[in-house]
Amino acid sequence: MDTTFDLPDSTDWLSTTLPAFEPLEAALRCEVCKEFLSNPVITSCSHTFCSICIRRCIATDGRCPSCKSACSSDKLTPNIAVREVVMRFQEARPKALEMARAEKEAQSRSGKKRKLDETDIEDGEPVRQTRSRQTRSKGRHSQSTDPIEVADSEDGDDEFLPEGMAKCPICNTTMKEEQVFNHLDVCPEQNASQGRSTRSSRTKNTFPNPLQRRQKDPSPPPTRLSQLNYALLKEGPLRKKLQEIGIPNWGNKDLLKRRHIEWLNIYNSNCDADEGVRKTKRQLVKELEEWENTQGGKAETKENKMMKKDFDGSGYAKSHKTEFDDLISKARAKRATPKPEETKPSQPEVDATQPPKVNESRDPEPTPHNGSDPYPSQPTQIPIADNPRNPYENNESALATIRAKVAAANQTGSTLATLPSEPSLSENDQVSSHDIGIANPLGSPARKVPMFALPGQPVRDLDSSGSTH
Amino acid sequence: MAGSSRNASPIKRLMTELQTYQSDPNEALLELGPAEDDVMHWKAVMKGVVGTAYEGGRWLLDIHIPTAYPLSPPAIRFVTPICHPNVDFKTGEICLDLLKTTWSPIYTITTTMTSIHQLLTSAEPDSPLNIDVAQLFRLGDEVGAQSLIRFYTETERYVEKRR
Repeated sequence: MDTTFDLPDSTDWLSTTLPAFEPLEAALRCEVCKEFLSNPVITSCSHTFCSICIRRCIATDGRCPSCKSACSSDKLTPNIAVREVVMRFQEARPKALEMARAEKEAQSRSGKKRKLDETDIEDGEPVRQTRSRQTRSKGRHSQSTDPIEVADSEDGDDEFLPEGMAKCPICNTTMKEEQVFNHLDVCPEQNASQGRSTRSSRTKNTFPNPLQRRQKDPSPPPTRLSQLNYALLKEGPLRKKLQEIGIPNWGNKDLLKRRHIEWLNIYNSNCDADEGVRKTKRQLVKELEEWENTQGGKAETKENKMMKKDFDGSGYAKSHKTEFDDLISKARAKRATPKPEETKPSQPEVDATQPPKVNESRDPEPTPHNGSDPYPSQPTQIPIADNPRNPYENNESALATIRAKVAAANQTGSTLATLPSEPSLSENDQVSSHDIGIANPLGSPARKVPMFALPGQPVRDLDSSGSTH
Repeated sequence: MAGSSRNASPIKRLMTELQTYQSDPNEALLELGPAEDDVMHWKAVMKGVVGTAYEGGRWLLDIHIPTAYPLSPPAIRFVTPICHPNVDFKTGEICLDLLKTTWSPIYTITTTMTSIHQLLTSAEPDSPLNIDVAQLFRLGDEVGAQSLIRFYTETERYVEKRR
């Protein structure tokens, strides 16, 4: 097994000087998806999982994956403290891991053990500190300062306003102080932000910072969707419901139900997300599409590889017309060239026809046999035989034609060892050999009896080729 | 931000599991990983438990992972025949509640393999798939059962062919 891929994983710590971080990181990972907890929620049995993971689990069997006690998705509550810890740990992780690895390398190179106590504390600190106090982690991690700097610069902007100027508290447009009150009446953003403070409308787009968030008024959280009673709901109303939501509504009732459940999982877990990272509905629909492709109606199953009942044949033919035309012209070109061997592999299922074709291929003049003469004439004489196995049974004229062809072929190709026995067959024998040929379509080539049989298969083939000519 | 997209597909989780196994191998297993290039089809080679009749054994196991994984359990069976009350000798089907009713998404392939490994030492003859050896256990014929197991552990040992 190759290990070319590299996914961060709690066991990364095992090969460093900080193996004690392995269980710590494992604790910050969701037990279901084994990734860092995203939008962690706590269940009524006090276990924490990713919102989407636990919702999917509950939708499947209604139990907590950890303790197997009954759970319900409307009892799930966002676990903000854990969210914060996970976020800060992820920020601190790369650098800490890098240091711990480098140290291990240095150790193995020098070959002597160093005391680990110091580094242990140093690397462990950020995780603990960020939990308790925001400001101290600021100095340690350059990455984590970004959100705070945004907040600071905001205050700075206010101070740097030229004298006599003021900002609209809603839309932040700079204007003269006396204009502000008039502007407020017509400010275009007033309705959107419902008259909230500058900070709330501005920080919306900045990096989410839960601690900072508490200072501003929270916007009303989106309401979670509730499950439907799928047993009572008929397919039609359910389909309509899905259309109302704006998600695909094709498929049978079971698929509709599964899709709606998955939509609830995706949508409700998005409600558990931090305000700043909440996704738009468009993104959610895209996620549902992903589900559709892997587990929903578009997932590759055995049934899907078969042709569907409502397969749009004519539509498919229209959309692929150029390809079909190309294939047809190629096939015609092959037919036109005097190479019967070419056609032989194209119909391997018709074994009875092969021996004569082999003979014909050695025929000095195969073109009249194959191309013009018999093919257009025969289908008109024998439109469709009642018995597909004995299509020539009551058609003496067709039989006579075939016999004539065979005789001609035998006369010209008499160099073959098996051929001399064949012209001796009388007409009565031919009927019997015909039967034998049907009974033994795969008869041994040495006997060469099926040569005269030329049963149903070639006729159908000729029929189709006749229509294309 | 933290892992903003959770895939519905199990592939990422399987890759994580594989990485976890490679940096922290399972003592019960000799090897574990995808068979050929299919991430949804794994194979494992299990070691026998030292100090039991299964000591020294090697069994190949076939693991099929459903698209709904980890919400639904992987299908695991013994390819190498094993003489065990809860394993069908011919099909290799394993009778373990973990693989059926009590499956939980928090289990991984590795932990499941550990559970199967533990099943070797804690068989339940009362829900048998291999009636012959289960009957020996139920009748209290420890010696008979042990020697039967020893026989098959020795004769049906899995040998890596490729290397």
